[in-house]
Amino acid sequence: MPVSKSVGARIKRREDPRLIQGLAHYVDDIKLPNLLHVAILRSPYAHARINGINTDAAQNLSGVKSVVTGDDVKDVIGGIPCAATDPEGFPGIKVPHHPVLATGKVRFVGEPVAAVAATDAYIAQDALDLIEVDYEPLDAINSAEAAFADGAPIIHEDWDDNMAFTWSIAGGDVDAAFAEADHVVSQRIDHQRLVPNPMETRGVVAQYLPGKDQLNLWSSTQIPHLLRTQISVMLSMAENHVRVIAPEVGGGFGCKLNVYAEEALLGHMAKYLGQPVKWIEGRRENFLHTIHGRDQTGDVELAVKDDGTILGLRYTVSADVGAYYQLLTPAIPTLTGLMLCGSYTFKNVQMNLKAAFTNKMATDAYRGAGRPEATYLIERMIDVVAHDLDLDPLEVRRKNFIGKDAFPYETGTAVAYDSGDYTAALDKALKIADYDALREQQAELREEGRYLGIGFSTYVEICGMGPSAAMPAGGWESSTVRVDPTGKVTVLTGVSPHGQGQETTFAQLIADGLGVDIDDIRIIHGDTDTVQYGIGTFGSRATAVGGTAMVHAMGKVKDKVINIAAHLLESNPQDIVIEDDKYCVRGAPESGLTLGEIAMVAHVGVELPEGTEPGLAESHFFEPPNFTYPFGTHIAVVEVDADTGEVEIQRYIAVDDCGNIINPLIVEGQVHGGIAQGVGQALYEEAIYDESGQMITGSFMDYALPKAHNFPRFELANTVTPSPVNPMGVKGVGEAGTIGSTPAIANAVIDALKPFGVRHIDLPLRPEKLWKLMQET
Amino acid sequence: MKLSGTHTIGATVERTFELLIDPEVLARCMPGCDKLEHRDDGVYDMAVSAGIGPVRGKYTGRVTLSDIQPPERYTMVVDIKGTTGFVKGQGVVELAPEGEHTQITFEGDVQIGGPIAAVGQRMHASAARLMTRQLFGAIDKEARASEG
Repeated sequence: MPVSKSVGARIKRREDPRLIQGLAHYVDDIKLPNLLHVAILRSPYAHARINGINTDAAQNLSGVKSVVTGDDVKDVIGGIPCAATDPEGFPGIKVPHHPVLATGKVRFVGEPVAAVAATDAYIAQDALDLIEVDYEPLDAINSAEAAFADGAPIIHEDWDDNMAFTWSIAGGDVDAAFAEADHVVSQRIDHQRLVPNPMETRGVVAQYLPGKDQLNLWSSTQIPHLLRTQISVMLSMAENHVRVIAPEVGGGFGCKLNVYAEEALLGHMAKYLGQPVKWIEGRRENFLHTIHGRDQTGDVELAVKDDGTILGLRYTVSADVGAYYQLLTPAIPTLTGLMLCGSYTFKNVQMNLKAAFTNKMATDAYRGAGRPEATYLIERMIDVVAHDLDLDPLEVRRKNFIGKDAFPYETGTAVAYDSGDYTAALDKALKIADYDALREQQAELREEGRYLGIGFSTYVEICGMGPSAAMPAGGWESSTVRVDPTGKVTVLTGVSPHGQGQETTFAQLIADGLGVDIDDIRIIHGDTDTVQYGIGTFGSRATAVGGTAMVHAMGKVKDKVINIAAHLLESNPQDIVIEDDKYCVRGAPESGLTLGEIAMVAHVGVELPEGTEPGLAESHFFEPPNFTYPFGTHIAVVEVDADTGEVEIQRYIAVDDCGNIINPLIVEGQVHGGIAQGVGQALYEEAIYDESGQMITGSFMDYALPKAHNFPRFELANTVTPSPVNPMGVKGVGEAGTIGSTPAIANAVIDALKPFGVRHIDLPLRPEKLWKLMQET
Repeated sequence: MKLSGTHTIGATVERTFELLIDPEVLARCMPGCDKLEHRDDGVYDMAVSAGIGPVRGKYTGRVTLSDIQPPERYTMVVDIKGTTGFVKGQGVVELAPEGEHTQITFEGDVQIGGPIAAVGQRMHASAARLMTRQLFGAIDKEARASEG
């Protein structure tokens, strides 16, 4: 997209002044009269029967308004929904009832058991200590392997095993590929469990207005409209009497793309107590009871020819999905399946997945959601192939790349990559890295007993979710563009930004499109009483799908504005152009009209052309014809300290192609954060449950997040291959950094340890693990 | 979590054994012990205050001694819980003469659950070692005081 006045410019985020001055309103900033504070009692056991709950002492504590247990709400609050349970997609899927408060049994540590509403948060917390629960502990399951073992305890007793569902995908002729192969390269690959950790934890405020029979629900969510629908079903309320508001949301990374127990529970409590209620999730609660990501372990086999040509891939994998499903739990590994071929030409591919119920929190969408697994797997395996066949990992990539003339390209998994030029991104990254010099430096340092490693990731991912046909709950998006009589523009978008900067990028598109100052544009989102139904923000879709809906709505407004301008200027619509933010007849800018002048005419309604509706507002619902497929090359340069095993990232080069760029500053910000989270998975993060099902990494003291000092200054660049899927040619960039960086770092560290004969190491690559490997050889 | 260790007590095996099963001595010597009462036949009611990092709390429950073979060994089962979690464990304590003194060897398995399990897990073993060292150190002092 050419740089015009706004689009393509490095405009600072319009959101930031309020955020950095503490002027933003998050859920916890919502203050209502007579507000009660809710605290949740959570199971300390991974698996136990509940033989009784005594709430008397808690009820009697001064300041406590109400204590509710599972038995109190089981008939009035429906189960927590899952939108991906179609037995045609998931043969044999078991869909357990998922209560908001446990009844009869608890199935993971952190599962809600009771809730207290009190006049302040401290009393509510103290009252939890007075609730006596008679638990009868049962044996717990902490891995898929343990769940499938003979004689394993049964988590959901409606069935006689812990198999949650199976899923498979196949393309081409895998058996023939393996028969033809010179080598079969195999490796077990583990994708450890991760905690999304947004800066703002979850939180809910609920208020019931009896005169209107209306429930107002503020929640830190990515999907206000989908949440409204689900809450209305769970609470048996008419959907048009439920209003969900996502105020300022401090990050989500997928974990707020969900419907949680507390959202329905607080809605119910506000209604029956006749007082508003608030619950703000503590960080330790967040570790236990906000969805986790990843947790797949599988065996990969690649059929390869002597020259490194890949003929086919088999992936047999177990997913540990936790005790219950959350909104999209079963759908996540299917995205892994779709992207298994990566940037490469082989079409013979097969993935067989078995998912297990275990005594853990549910897994669901975490930044990348299924695609980081695919990318890590194939990018890691390319390096394993290079290792086994003594080839350059770079050459293996080039040999197998899909050529730039092959697009649109249908993969072995039957998805159609929209556009791409993988070699161009790789070449650009190599040039920035000065690759040959790096290899020379690596050889010199090895002589000195220093271990430099260079790692690649030439990823492709799937974004702009997506066509509704491929989504569990709608893949379209909506927008309304309104021009007020004074010419101020209001956009109502169905997406729900929580850090992605659409209040800026959407305004840039409107400013250029309608010829209006960016400061005169307001982007409204996240309030279901204000904004038409929308799907929300996830899967790098907000700009590619939501932005497109807005551009179409804006186009309708613009057509009308031009018609009115032509009428007023006694000209033809096709002769009207925008010059200096004025609608004028081509060549006569001095008699031009501003958007405000035309908008006033539209609202006064007297001088309109015959047959023109008064007012100036248009809506559009956009259904994308396909996903988008951003790609790029990431190169990590690391040094592993031989004495301590510590990894220092010396350089990080990322060349991302997310199609046309509306605001480079925001794209860079998304890539920075994405790289940091992907590096977290590669080097530091791991959610661990012990054998008794206790989560033993439940605080920032125990779960390592990367910090600023762990990173060098990123070296970022782009190639631009516009997407044909939407008129802006954008692809999405919210997840690229996360998807690209994990394998780049892993490959770099393993490359560094090549002199020690290392072929593969499971993540995270902590110093103790690396140090031990170096000591063993 | 596996727990094991040895400690030397400055008293005879017989005297050490007496001290180890005396609720008053144990209540004095056990770090954070608020209460320890012998209920019946090897069963003690216990209340302790303990904490790791930011998670501090009171725990109540029961300690049961069984398979008591004075002055050589006994089996101990601990089952306490509180608002910040629970601790369950069992172990064997063995006493052997070491000259005039006694060497205590213990070996056990402890399960920790609830909020305390999620925080500071890597410190649990060292915290447990510290607490046992404090316990046996205090008993050693009692023993030497009563000897002297």
